[in-house]
This record gives sequence, C-alpha cells and structure tokens, in this order.
Amino acid sequence: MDGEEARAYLPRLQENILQTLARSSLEADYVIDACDALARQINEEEHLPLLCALGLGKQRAKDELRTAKAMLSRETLQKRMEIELALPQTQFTDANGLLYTHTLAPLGVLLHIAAGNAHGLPVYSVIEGLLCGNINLLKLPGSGDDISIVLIEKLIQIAPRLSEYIHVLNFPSSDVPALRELAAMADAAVVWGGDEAVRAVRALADVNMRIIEWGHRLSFAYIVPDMTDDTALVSLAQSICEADQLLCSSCQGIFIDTESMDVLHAFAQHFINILADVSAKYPSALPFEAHAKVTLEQHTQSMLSMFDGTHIYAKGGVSLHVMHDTALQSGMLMRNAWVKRLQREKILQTLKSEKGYLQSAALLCSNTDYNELCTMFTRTGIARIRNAKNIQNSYGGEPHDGEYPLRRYVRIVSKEERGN
Amino acid sequence: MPNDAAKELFSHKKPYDHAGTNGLFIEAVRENIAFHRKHCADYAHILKESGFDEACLRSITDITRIPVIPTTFLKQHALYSMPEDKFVIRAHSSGTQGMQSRVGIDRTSLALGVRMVWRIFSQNRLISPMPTHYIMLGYEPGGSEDMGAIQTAHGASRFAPALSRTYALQRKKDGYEVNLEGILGSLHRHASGIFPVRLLGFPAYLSKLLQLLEDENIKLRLPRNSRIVLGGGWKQFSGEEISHKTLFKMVKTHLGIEKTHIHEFFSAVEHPIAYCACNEGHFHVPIYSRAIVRDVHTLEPVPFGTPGLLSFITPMMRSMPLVSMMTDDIAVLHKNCTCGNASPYFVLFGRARADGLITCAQQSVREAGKAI
Repeated sequence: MDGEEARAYLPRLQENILQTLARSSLEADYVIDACDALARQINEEEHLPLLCALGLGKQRAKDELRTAKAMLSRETLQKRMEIELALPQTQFTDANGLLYTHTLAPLGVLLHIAAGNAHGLPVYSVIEGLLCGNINLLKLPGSGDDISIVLIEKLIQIAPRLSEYIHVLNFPSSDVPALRELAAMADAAVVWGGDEAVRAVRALADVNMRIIEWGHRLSFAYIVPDMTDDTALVSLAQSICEADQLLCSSCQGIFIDTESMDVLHAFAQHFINILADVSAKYPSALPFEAHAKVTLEQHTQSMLSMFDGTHIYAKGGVSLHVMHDTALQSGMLMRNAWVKRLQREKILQTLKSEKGYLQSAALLCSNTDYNELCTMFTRTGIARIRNAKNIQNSYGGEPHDGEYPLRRYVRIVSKEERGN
Repeated sequence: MPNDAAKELFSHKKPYDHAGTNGLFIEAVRENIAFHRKHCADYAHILKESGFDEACLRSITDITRIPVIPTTFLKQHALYSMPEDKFVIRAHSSGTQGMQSRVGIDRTSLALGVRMVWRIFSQNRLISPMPTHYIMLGYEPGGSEDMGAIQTAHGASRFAPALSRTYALQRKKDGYEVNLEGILGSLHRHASGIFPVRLLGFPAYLSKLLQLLEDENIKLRLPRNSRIVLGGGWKQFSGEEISHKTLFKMVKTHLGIEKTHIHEFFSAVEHPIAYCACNEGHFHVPIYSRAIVRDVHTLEPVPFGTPGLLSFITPMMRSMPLVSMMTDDIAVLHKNCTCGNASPYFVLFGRARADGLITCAQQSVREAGKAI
C-alpha cells in the first residue's frame, strides 16, 4: 500500500492489529510450513532477474537464491528455534512453595525498517518476527524493494492466515508524522541500516518502544608480525577478494601489533604482492560503475597521500593504505585495505571507543598468542573471532552480531499457577 | 607573453576546428601548467611526485600524460594559484558540506570564458536582442556564493534581454519552495504575448513540468523563437530520466517548441567549459578543451567507442590548476557525428558508484543460511 492510501489506512490498521491480537495466535509450525513451501518455490528463472536488476552479478545472485532456499527450509528454521529460544528451566518454586511457569510469548507487533540498500532483507526480518508469533509492519525502503514484495506475496498465497500478520506500507521516510503513528502501534522497531537509519528510528520511537538495531558493523584483521607465515596471509587475501569486503564480517583493514612505521611499510610491501596475486585469481563480479568508483577513490587517496604523509601501495587493482593513526575505520571496500599500528597493550583503550560497531576480528598469530588475544578482543566488545580464512564464513546456530535474533522478538511470561 | 597562446585560442573564429588549433592548444596548456607550477606550491608538488614536466608536451596525444586530478580530490584539498580576493566569481559544486569543490575564477580567465560562451551561444543562435521572458527551472539566486548551476543559469538568462524571470524554486526564509502555480501562470500569460519565452534549467524539472502539463491536458503554443536551454544533467533524478525523443515530443505537444530550439549543455564547476549538444543530442568538444575517456582500472586513455571515466584538459583557468580534471561520470567518446560537426563528442552513461552493493543482508543471509 502506497503513499496517500497508506496514510489513510493507518487508523484502520490499528483496529486490525487489536482484532488480530484479541482473536488469533500464530503457531510456529504454520509459519515453518509456509517458509518451507516458499523455499521450494524459489527458482532461478523467476527470481534471478529480480536480483540481477539490483546490480548483483549473476554468480552472486545465484548464491543468494541458494542461501535463501536453505535459510527458509524447515530444517534450518526448526533448529534455529530450538537453539535460540531454548528455556533450560520453565518451572520454578519460590521460598513459599508457590509454583511458577515460564512460557514464551511474542512481543506483539514489530515494525521493520530497512535502509535503501538492504534488498531482500526485510523478508528475513519479517519471517523471524512471524516465527515468534508477532504481527509485522514493514515500512519499505524509499527506493522500493521488489524482491521482498514478491516473496511476501508468495508467502501469503501459500499461507493465507499470514495476511493478518504482515502489513506492508510504503510512504517516504520524510513523512515523519505517519511514521510516528506507525511506530506508536508497535512494541518494537527492528532496524536494518547504517547510523543514519538507526538515528532516525531512535528519534521516531517513543520511550516505551523497544529498538532492536542491526546496524553498521566493522571487522578487521590483527596480525602479529614475525608470527605469521605466508599461508595465513594468502588466506587473508582470499577473504578480502572473495566478497570484495562488502559484508559486515569482511576485514576493512589490518592492525599490526607494532609501534614502528617501518614494520608497517615492510608488511605492506610484502602483502601487496600476495593480495595482487590472489586478486588476479578471483575475477571480480562487480559492475562497471563500481570499478570506476574504486579506481577513482584509489587515485584520490594516492593524491591525498602526497600531502598527508600516508602511503598507498597499489598493484593490479588492489591497494593497501598505510596510515599513521590507530583508529578503526570503514574502508574503501573492493579490495582496498587500510594498514595501521595497534600494539596489543593498547587494544582495549583503542577499540573500546568503537563500542557497538565491533563485529569480527581475524587473528593471524601463533597458537600461544591466539587465546591471549581472544581474551583481549572479547573485552573490547567483539562478537566473532576467527582465523584469517574463516572470517566471513558462518555455520548454523551462529549468533547475529552477538545475539540470537529470535530471542529479541519474544517475551518470557512468568505465571503463577493456581491450585497451589 | 604568458597566456598569449590561450588568448589566441579563445579568439579563434571556428570553435570546433581541432585540426587548425592543436598546436595552439598544446602551447596554451604548456603555458598554463608552467603558470600553476610557479604559483601553486601544492600543484608543483603533485607534478613532482608524478614525475611530470610540461616540456614533454609536443604532440596532442602527449596531453594524456598530464597528472589528472579527480574532482573528489579537489573537494577535500583545494588548490589555488592566486589569493582568493582576486576571484571575481565564486561557486561551489553540489555535495554535502565539507565535500564540495569551492571554485573561483579570476578576471583574465573570465574574459576567456566569456569569449568562449559568446562564440558557442552565437553558433547555436542563443544570442538575441529580443526581449525575452524567462522561466527558470531551477533555484532563485540568493547569496554571493551560490552553487555553480544557479550562477550559470542566471548568466544564461542574459543572452537575450530579460523582461521577466519566474523561478520554479523560490527562495524563502528557511529554504526553497516549489512555485508551480507561478510557472503555469507565467506560461499562460506569455503564450499569448509577442515576446519569446525561454525555459532554462535542469532537465528533470522540465520533465516534471511537462508531466504536469500532460496530466492537466494543457497544450500551449509559445511565441516564435521561444527556446529551451537545459543543463546540469539529471543528478539525483537519474532514476526518472526520460529519453530525448520523449522529451522533444512532449515539448512540441505542450509548449509548441521544435527540437531545433531545444539546447542542452554540459559543464562542471571544476571544468567550466560549455559543451553544447548538437541536433543529434551529442556533446561536441570545442577547441578550448579536450576530452579523454580513461580505463576504469588503469586510467589509461581508451580508444573511441570504449566506456570509461570522463576527464578533461583545458588551459582556460589561471585561478586554480584545473588543467587536467577527472569527473566521476562514465562516458564514451565518438567521432563522425551525423550532424556534420567534425570534432569528437562524448555520450554520458551514468556515474561511478558503488552504493547498492553494500548490504548487511548479505551477511545475515550467509549467517543464517548455512545448512545446519
């Protein structure tokens, strides 16, 4: 539902929500069955063009569809519910012998807001909400999100009862009064996007609204010089090239455990050759305009480095930017990494200020160092620690940014039992 | 005398005669680089770090070796070859605060620019003594340092004496307000008058106006010699861009103006040369500059017909070392245009961009999707 129509619908939406909450409840099995059927309906012929139209290379689009099928399968969803919603104990007695039981209940109503470039993401978010029994309001990103709409429509076709639990609205993010009205109907907002999106939602939300943000995250590699052989460096180069540094878990840059700029330069001079070699073996699936953008940025940085004392090592389309400061930062992406000093004694004080943004660290060091560094990084707030090769890989049962999403979409209700 | 070659170049009678002015161009560029090397320490540093000396410029193909400065660099690190009080006009590019190019032009360079504009506008019959009503499809000017686009549009509304100017976006206390009724009112009034009307401004705004006229089924016949002058590209409206064919058709239907009286320009704050579209809609390169399309990986010049990053060379500016600038436009260079103009022309294909690729979706999908 778009613009004017959407705005006019808002009062009726509130009524509908109350009716749904009063009369119905949504069983997880119903949702899982529907998702499983949807998974089987996802096919390349129909859906690949939609993803390619968004600028995804063909191979990447194929991977995304395959992942979608896996993610929506009964097996995956059931396992997630078991792991993420596990309640080890559900019966309690107090000092007076009174009995209490715990059950899980949905939060109620979730408002999903996704930033412009988060194509397809809203579908997963809504499905997570449905699994927990919530009513889901989806405010589409301004630029539209065809693939999400297509998949949601299919889902409702498969399982018509879900139409009560999914409401898709499309009005501009600038329509603050309408957004506020929408927010007022929700128990929680689920935000996907960068700082701007998160900030906007925090401004919208009233004090009694929960905000679950899956926002901007940074990841990096940490290297202890002399304790890293070329095999690990090749693995790091592979992970940089494999996903063009586009994932939240991709290394944007490299910290070296040293105080010396000379060590930094020596490392960059050595690693640029490895990175360039590996890059040649991973032909990029990026669109033409993206390559143009990277080259333009590399050239700009090179010219800026003529004045700011930093140094860019460039070879075969990839680059390493050796910098003087020690701050964590986003990178240029697309196979360009920054290189900075970070002595292990300074890890906590340097990274603590990046709270909320830390996600993954790839450690290239000796086995003895590994556990010590893991402890240090854990204290800074990092959510994932890996070897160079696996920083972008994941496995079933893994938390998202340090949390179990399904856990955030439920309440644990404590009930005193009668007949005590 | 320094700058003599440039003066001669900008006084040449045929604005598209490359063959007759190549030598003059090289000389003017050499002089310009020497001037900036002397007066802008940062530019001298760039030349040194790039290992470039203008003495190597002998044939026209040598100009591709001049270190090319991206506009993105200029936005972060301004380069001036004279004190800013010598600037007679100041302008800034679009972009957020802190990420704008701040450009200024001095008297000498302005004189060259005026000569250039006069010659190109004359050739396109845009200079006229007829008093004209202007519909400005852009922003009402305000301060002393407006966006380049605002100043250009205003300047362009002087090539035929202005009887009136109606602005699509009027300046209010806290921003701009769309003035559609004012525009429609002016159009209706002037349509029944005797003085020509000129619509000047962004193609996106013209498109919106035409859409409105279509929705309201309004068909006007603007007076003889009315013209449309478009510039600035589609910018943030690139998703709504319509084809030339459609645009010309709608203009004919709703304003009664033939495509021979529609003129489109390309220019940039950091490269203020006027590129005028020919009858085929192609931007031909005048003698005052050269266009080079560069490979998106290596930045080396690519052959005609190959897409790449658009860069330009001009000896026009003395206020700032804008001799060789690279935009973030993607374009293709061609020759042998059917319009008859023998100089090469470029066609734009969008911008260098990477937004839309970055998505946390990729991550969460990967995380949750691995088979358990």
